[in-house]
Amino acid sequence: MNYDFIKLTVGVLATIGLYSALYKETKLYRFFEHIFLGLAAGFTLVAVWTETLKPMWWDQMVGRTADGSEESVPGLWLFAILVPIGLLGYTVFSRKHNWMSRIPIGIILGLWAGQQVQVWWTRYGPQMSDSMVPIIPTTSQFRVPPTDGLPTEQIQAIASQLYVSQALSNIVLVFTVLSVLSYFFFSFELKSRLVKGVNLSGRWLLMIGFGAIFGSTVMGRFALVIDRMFFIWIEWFKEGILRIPG
Amino acid sequence: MNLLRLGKILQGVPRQALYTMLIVVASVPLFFRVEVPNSPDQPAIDLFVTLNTIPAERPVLVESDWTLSSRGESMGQMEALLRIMMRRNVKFVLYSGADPQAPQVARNVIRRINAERKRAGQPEYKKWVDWVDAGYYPDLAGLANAMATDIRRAFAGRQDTNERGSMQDIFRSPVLQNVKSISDVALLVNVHASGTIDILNERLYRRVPLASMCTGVMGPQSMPYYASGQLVGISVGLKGVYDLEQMMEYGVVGKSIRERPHPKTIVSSNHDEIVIQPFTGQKNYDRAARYYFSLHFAMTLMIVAIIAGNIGMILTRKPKRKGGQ
Repeated sequence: MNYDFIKLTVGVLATIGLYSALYKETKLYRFFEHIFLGLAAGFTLVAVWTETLKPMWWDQMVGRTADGSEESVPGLWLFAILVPIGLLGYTVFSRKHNWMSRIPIGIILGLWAGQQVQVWWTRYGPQMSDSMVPIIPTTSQFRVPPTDGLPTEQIQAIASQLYVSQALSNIVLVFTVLSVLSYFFFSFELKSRLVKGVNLSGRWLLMIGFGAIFGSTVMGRFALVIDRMFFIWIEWFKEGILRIPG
Repeated sequence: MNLLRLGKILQGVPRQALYTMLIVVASVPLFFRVEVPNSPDQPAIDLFVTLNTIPAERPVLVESDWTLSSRGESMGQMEALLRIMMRRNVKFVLYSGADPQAPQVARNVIRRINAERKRAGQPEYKKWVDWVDAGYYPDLAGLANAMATDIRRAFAGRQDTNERGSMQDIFRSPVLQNVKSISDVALLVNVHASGTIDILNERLYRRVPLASMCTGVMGPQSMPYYASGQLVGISVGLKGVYDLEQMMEYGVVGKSIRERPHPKTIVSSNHDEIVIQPFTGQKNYDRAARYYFSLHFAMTLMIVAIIAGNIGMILTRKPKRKGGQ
């Protein structure tokens, strides 16, 4: 029995243990849950030091002496100031000194808030501009002609027109944007029947959107179950025990 | 059997029975290799075309923000991405900005794909020469800001093992030695299971082409970026991986190309004259092809269960009394 197979077997036991919660909450489930949490916490602690704090902070703070291939690098001892600032966060546990914990939080909030105007616009600006689409067709032809195998000039000529089917699609987009926006008019009473209708449509369209999101989410979750089954049946049972290549 | 009783039976199926059925329908199809008919989505085609047309001499930034909790989808994404880049000899930088476990998970995938290449008689994709490891960054927003202003300062101090086995600054590697700013990077691909693509879009849009390979859960949140041109391409969930595997197998051509490398070659409606040859004779179909067949059975089970539950609800619904009593 080699090391890889032992590793796989432990993984299979952990999978079965965690899935036993589907039957009911068992001691087996609790056991593996605690192992998982402990492993994740321990791994994270070590990884944060080895992957981030050591190379990005400690090594740069203490500098480096020259060796055969690398020149010496002077230490940036100002980086040491980050330690007391960071430690101030822990004063939250002291009633007397907890006001000091607001200093690092304030620095983080200030940095974050300062970025938000530009960040918001870079994220949503292109989407807002993309929602403003033409809704009047430029040709009476309904469908976009097939372009497979056509020369580039003809494809470009077709692309320059707005066909009726495309205009209808754009109308759906514009109506969806406006009606969904109208759904969030909470500050005043909606009296007009037209506005009420648009508002209701917005609600329905939101529900349809949520349904699509739910479908995509479920598909993602199923993929995770299937992956676990693949791990048990193919990687462990078929390839590990029966020694049949997957 | 009266309808009320039937309705109660349909509504009262124990959840343990449903879970058992799910495990059976998710497991049995895994033993069969079936090529499920599929038409790749345009966002995935655009991603594939981008990966196959970026200049090979400029590096790609691979931000790997997934762990084993989304292995079912993200590992297939990562494998497909690595296979395409390695077959084109595109150099890349690996880093993570979402989870401390993410870099190690990605390194394991690179090791496995390298072993696969070795078995197929292909050259190994060498660390330092072909790719470098820039590790984990706990503050992605800060990193992305720094990348936008000065990429050398953003990754400053990062070292990796060079060919001689000693640690050296990653900007001395063949991968990054010519990179002076973010615009020298060909593409940034985010393999993610959380909202990291939001942060990247907010800070790096228009500075470097961005692409997303996300889970099904993140798909609806990420797709508007593609629609508005903020992403050059996107592959969503298992379907996205299957799309990529299919395109690797059959290639992609533009609309105006008449001669196709294979009868099943995919036609991109967003491109005119491109021809991307299939990776013939190589391992293209892998994880997604295995899972996709099972996924259809699992989805069918869910649809059947929803219909049965709704029929049960209708049958057991008490008739309304007249006069509102």
